[in-house]
Amino acid sequence: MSVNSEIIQAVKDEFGEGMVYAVDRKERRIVLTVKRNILKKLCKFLKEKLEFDHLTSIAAVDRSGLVNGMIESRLLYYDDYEMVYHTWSHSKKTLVEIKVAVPKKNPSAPSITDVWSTANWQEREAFDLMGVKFSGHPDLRRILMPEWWKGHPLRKDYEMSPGKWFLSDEDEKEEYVLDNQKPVFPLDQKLAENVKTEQISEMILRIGPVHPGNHGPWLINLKLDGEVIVDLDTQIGYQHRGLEKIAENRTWTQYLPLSDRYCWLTALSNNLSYVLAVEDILDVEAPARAQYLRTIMLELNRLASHLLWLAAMGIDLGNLSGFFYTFREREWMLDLLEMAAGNRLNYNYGRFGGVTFDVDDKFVKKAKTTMKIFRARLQEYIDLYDGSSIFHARTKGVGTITAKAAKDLGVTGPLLRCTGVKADARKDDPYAAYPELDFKIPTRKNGDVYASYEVRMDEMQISSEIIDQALDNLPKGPVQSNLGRIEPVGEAISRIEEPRGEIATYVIGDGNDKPYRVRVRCAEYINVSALGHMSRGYKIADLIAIIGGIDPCLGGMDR
Amino acid sequence: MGLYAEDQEQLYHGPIPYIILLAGAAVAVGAIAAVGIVFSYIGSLGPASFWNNPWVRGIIGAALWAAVVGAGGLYLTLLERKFMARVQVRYGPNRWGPYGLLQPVADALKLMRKEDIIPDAADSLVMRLAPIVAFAPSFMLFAAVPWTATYVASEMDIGVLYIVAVTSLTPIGVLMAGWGPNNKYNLLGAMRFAAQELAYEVPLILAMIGPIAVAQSLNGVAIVEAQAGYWFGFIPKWNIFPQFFGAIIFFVAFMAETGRIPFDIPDAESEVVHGFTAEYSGMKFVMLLLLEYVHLIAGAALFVVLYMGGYLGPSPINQFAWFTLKLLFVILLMMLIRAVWFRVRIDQIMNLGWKILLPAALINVGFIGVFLALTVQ
Repeated sequence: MSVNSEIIQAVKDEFGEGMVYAVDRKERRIVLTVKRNILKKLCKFLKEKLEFDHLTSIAAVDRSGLVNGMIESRLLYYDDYEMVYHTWSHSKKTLVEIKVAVPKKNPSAPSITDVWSTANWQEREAFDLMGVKFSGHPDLRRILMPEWWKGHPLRKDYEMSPGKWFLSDEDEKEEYVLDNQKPVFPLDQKLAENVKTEQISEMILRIGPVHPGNHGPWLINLKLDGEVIVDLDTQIGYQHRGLEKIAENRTWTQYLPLSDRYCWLTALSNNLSYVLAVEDILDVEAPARAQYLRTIMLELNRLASHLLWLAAMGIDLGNLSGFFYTFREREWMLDLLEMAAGNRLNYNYGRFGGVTFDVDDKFVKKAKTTMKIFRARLQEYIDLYDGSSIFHARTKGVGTITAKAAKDLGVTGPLLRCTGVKADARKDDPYAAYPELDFKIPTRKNGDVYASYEVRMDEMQISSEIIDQALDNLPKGPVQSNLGRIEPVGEAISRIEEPRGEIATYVIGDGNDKPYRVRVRCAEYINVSALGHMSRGYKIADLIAIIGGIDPCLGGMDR
Repeated sequence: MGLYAEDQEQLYHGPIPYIILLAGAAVAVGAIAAVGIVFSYIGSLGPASFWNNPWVRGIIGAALWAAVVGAGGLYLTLLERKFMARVQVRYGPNRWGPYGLLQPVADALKLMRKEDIIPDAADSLVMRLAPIVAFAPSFMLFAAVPWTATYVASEMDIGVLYIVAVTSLTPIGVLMAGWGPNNKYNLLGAMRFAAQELAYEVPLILAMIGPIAVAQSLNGVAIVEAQAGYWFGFIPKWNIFPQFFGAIIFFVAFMAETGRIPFDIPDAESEVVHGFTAEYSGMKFVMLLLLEYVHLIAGAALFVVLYMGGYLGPSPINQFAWFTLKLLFVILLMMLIRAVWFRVRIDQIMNLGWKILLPAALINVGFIGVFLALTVQ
């Protein structure tokens, strides 16, 4: 009996026939279509009994415009809106998709924040963009759009004409305000109460939206007692471009270059994440050479991103020289990416069923030389960073997070691996040419900033070795397959290990030339939501180190 | 762009930039020497002369000092940028004048043209006064630094004590700069600065006791003269050799007072956005920024006087040049430290100051006392 059927059996035993079970073509994910009232019980059961400890993403879908592509099983519980939950088990290495129908009139669903804390921001996003209200959510307010925004943009009936976006005085604001709605900055309210009761030892400090310690425009409202952080509240959305909405108005191929632009540091992962999801629906595989090229480019992108993280980490902690050294090597990675993809920043390298360009022997030779020099240079960085006792003092024991809390908060990538959890989509949920390559997943135990530094340094070493391996085994053959007109029907989710963690793209196609819905779960968004948990009780200087350890990328957060 | 190691070599353009830089620094310091000569000439005119009227002498001297040390501070920024650039495998400023030598002038002109912004909610008077109050004492302390055996701007018997007293006025100005603009970053930076100055003032002064006790004098010239001569004919009798422990305490303490990496928490740009200068613009900002460089010169000069034999040195090079060379050596050492070290945290800096440096300085004073009691009598 396979893992999937065991899980289905266990759920059946617990909940009976009150839901629809399905397994996708590749036996990669189980689809459970359930009624709203048992959602929370099901989630609790999955988490506690079946070890589904990681909530990948929550997607809200407006199905009212959907003509084709409806799976028959869903007819049982069909409604205009639908919440789609994806949860992953680190131990069982399988994906469960839970679908819950939500009525269009007064849409609401039970909040699952007390099952997985990571649902907090994702439910806020669903509320913000789709207008689904979550009963029992501790802090339900807009997250990406400003407070004064009118309407919920991802709804299919959202009016996209200028001048209709702002709430006017005549508008009924109740529609957008819940009973337990908090003010814009909850901390301000608390401070005002403190002033009344003369407890004014605390002060509010706003870090951002423009601040050298932030790696982009976002706002952290800090409540400080002296220099110690008592509480903090994050406000993001300054770079929100509505890419998920734009996707619905572009053709499948037109959206390819846009998918690069979630985050400029991990453009390739973002792009391939979308490509893989569409390929999954189309049921096509890229040729072997294209798979290897994807692997090489993904790792080059990882190196470039990690080198920028190391540079920023140095600046954050006061070391000015590391920045220039790491940028020197990052430049080489960009040179290689440019050689293969033609671009230095947003590569637009993925194609459905392949990649854009092939590489020649010159690239292979140059890449090998670069990797050889790079590994020597990596030792120099370790001397510069690890050799400094101040670096140890600043990062050890700072921003500590336990494995349990990290899983609960949905943290992925180096931040999760530095707590001792061996979770990496490259091994667990393989894609591209990773199953054919031999590499290790580095982990550490402590879960502090220093541990995540060590994990990333090891990853750079391993990435360069993966590139060497892939270059040695690079097969001959075409790099593209001819697919003809692309009008996929169905839905799929892809998971990719980007440099910062897991990026998951959930795509629905209804046989049209445009995607019906594209939902992206970026690692940065979820990792940053754990900032409050990681930094309470530490000092301002530690907060900067913790942000450096999280390595946020604002484009990916706001999309 | 260079991909291979040999390409990187092309970034090196020979020793000329360094020579020109050092020459530029020497010219700047030479200007100080010229001022010194003028002063000694005035001193030889006799007390009745017009130029020796204390008021005239004071006003002209102050104006000259402001010009010379101000220019020196400006060129120190260029030296630092060039030096750091070389450490960081890049060029540094190289557009204005040969090898970027006019860069500080361009910077100064640009900053002078900047709009002077006073926020509405600021305490205007405090904000306007703060740069002056902070900046003036750091200039005043140069009056007691002996550049040569004959030239001290103001020769007083309590020279070192005067320097310490004047230095401790700076935090008042910085606190004003923190309070005046009504900005939380300014306030945090100023509080950090005050806490840091307080913590390191004590070990700094305690470390000074060593050379003072050896010289039996608070006068700068006397302290330097006490270091004259050689052990075994070739090791100079500088205080740094017998009092190595004290020298390290003094060096760390004055590095912390200066507020540079690794102790630059008052103006940590990634945390408190350059601290107490956050809200300032134009010339007020320049004054607060130059504070760091003037402190750097002053601290290094004091270190040279107390521990490295001041202007003493073998004769082909004159006393003033010896002093300048030693000064540059100490300054470049601090710049190298700045280039490759990380920044410490506020509680770590306090721990280092109060729990390690202070007891160490006290022990050091005790040892020196015992040593002197055994040897001098």
